[in-house]
Amino acid sequence: MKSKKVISFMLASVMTAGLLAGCGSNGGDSTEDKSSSGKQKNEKTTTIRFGWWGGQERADLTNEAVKLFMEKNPDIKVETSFYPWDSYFENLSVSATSNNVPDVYQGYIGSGDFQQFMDGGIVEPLDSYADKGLIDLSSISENLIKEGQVDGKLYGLPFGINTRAMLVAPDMYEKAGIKIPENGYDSWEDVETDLKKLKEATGKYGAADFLKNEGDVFKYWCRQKGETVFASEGDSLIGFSKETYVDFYNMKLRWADEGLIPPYDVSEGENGPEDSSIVKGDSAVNIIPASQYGNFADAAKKNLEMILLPGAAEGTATMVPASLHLCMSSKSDHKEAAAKLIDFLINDEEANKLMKAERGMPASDKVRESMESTFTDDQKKVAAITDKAVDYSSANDLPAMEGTNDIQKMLEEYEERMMYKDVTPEEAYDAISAAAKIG
Amino acid sequence: MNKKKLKEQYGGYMYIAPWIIGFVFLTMIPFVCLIYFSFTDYSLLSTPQWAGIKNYLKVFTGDQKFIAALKVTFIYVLVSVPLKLIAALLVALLLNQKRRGIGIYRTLFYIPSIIGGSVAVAVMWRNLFSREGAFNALIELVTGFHPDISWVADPKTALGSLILMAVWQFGSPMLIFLAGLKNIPVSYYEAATVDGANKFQCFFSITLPMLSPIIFFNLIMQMINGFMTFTQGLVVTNGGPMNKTLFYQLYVYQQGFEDFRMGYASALSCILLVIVLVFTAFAFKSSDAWVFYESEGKK
Repeated sequence: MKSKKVISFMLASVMTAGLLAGCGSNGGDSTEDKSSSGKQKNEKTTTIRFGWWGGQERADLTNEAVKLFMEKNPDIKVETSFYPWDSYFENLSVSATSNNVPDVYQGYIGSGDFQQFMDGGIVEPLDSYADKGLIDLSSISENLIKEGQVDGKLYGLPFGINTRAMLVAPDMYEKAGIKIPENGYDSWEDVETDLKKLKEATGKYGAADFLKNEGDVFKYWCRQKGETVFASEGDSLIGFSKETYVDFYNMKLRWADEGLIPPYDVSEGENGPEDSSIVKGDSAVNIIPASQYGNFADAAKKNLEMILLPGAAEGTATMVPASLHLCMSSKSDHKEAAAKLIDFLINDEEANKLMKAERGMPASDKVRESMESTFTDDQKKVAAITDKAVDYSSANDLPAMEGTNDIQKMLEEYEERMMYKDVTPEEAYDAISAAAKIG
Repeated sequence: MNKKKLKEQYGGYMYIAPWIIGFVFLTMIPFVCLIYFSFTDYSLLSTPQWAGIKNYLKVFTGDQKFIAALKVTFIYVLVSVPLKLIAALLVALLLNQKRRGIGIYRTLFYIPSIIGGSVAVAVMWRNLFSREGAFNALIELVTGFHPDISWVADPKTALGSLILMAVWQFGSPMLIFLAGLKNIPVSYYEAATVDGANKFQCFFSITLPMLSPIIFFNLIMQMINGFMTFTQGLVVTNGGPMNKTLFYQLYVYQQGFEDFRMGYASALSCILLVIVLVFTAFAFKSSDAWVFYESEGKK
């Protein structure tokens, strides 16, 4: 009888141990590194954590660069983790609850999604570290520094710059008997004219549906009219007028009705470059971030070219903004070590060679120059269009005001409803501008 | 005397200790926290701020999405649960035969319900029923006409495709029905046939009443599960198009994790809890009328 009790006790404790081990480590995915408590027993090395969004390829390249950092800084250990893009901000917010925000992490100053984290105060201003010389800002352009600033304080450094370019399929243009405009189309009307001819050449659509809020095409449209999507001051959170909004979405509705672009649900169902209509030969035009050119070109297995956006050469609406920012957690225990890592990732030429400009062209002019010889053909094209775009660009919009996260959601919701003909663009604008009023 | 009893029950307590620990830490405590959070403003990035009943007031006065989510979830439950149970019962009847290979059919019917809740199946379902998916290809094969509609993206049919997905997973209630069917003494049927009853009369007078406790069990379980549907809504349609598949739990998730309004999401969760409680209580009350227990000793 006694042995029975002993066995039952041992079984129960084994099960309990299994249960507790399962819910052990701190939240958030981590890669090959085991979980740790952040502070090492050996007080000579500090451990910091670095998190970003992206796929496996980006993770491998970044880990290489991090390894180099650890070699150059033997007293700092860096633990890395990465998350898929669609759940990145959710993961970040969960890590914020458990006080687990990575010391260095990717963010995007100025986006609606990231606004929450700015409002929540978990982003550390970097000016003091720049002044102390821990972070070198000398080869980053003024425009880019301004972009990472809110209220005069620098919250993020550009970890890659990017620009939107119009992607065209030369074979379809040939088939339709039209020329690709060398410096981009002069106007959106010219685009529409050509799309009708291209639709016949492909037999399906003229272009992919790039007239969206997501992907910053609406932002570009507003800038062409001298407006902005989000206002940085004033009594409304939005910075665009009714006419701007209605014209844009009427154009989108018209193109959809005439079959120049795929139906809404088809475009929304596209999952990455391999799935896109231009790669499948169903359309001939798209607008993409220039850094994605390689992915599209490889997937299409045919020649694709990049030109400036419509009307770019006529003004300065083009943007060459940071594709993402590197930020520091305000709750970090090792801010100086984090600053060193940030400086390394942005300025170290070897590190950037290892990372192969996967996040976009390096922001530091010095680094970009030193890498020119190592670029692949695709990357040379990206560098070329980026340099061209810089000539016609102006600084990015000023940061949005607090509370724009909801308006961002509304913009996307109403976009969907307009395409399903549930509301008219006029009604949508009225609803959005009413919600955007402050006070 | 007491010490002896304790020693005897010692083993029992040890066995259930893991469950008790899990229950307290993973269910009870989060549950209490949920009720607390529902009275706060909590954005995940800062500490919860007490807000009284503000969240509840906001839910009941003019939250359009709340009404939409309720509508979607109610329609889903009220349509998919009966359909699922009927399918389960019919197939169970079919499988209640001693044929060769009946075990294989049973397994085949059961498989959808075990893999069903997974993300992979949801993604596959979305592809199957999209504009260029296999379902449309099948229709074209049979009728020569290619429907230019995406079943999961059209506002009129999106919820329908998810209801279909739920009904497709009738395997697990089916197995339970099967067990129940096998428990009905054959002598009842023999006696009935001797008295001249036909198949239908047998079914309605013997099978159904004998099965009623199992029907009751399946009804409660499926109903509760239906109210908690989340994965399908998120993966297949993400609440769209235009919130036509905005399951209640999905709405809670959006409010809590995408909009960072944990307090509000907690309030929504508590409301759902009350709704499910009410429905379950109602089902239990009504069971007195139609559930027949052979022993005539209810609970």
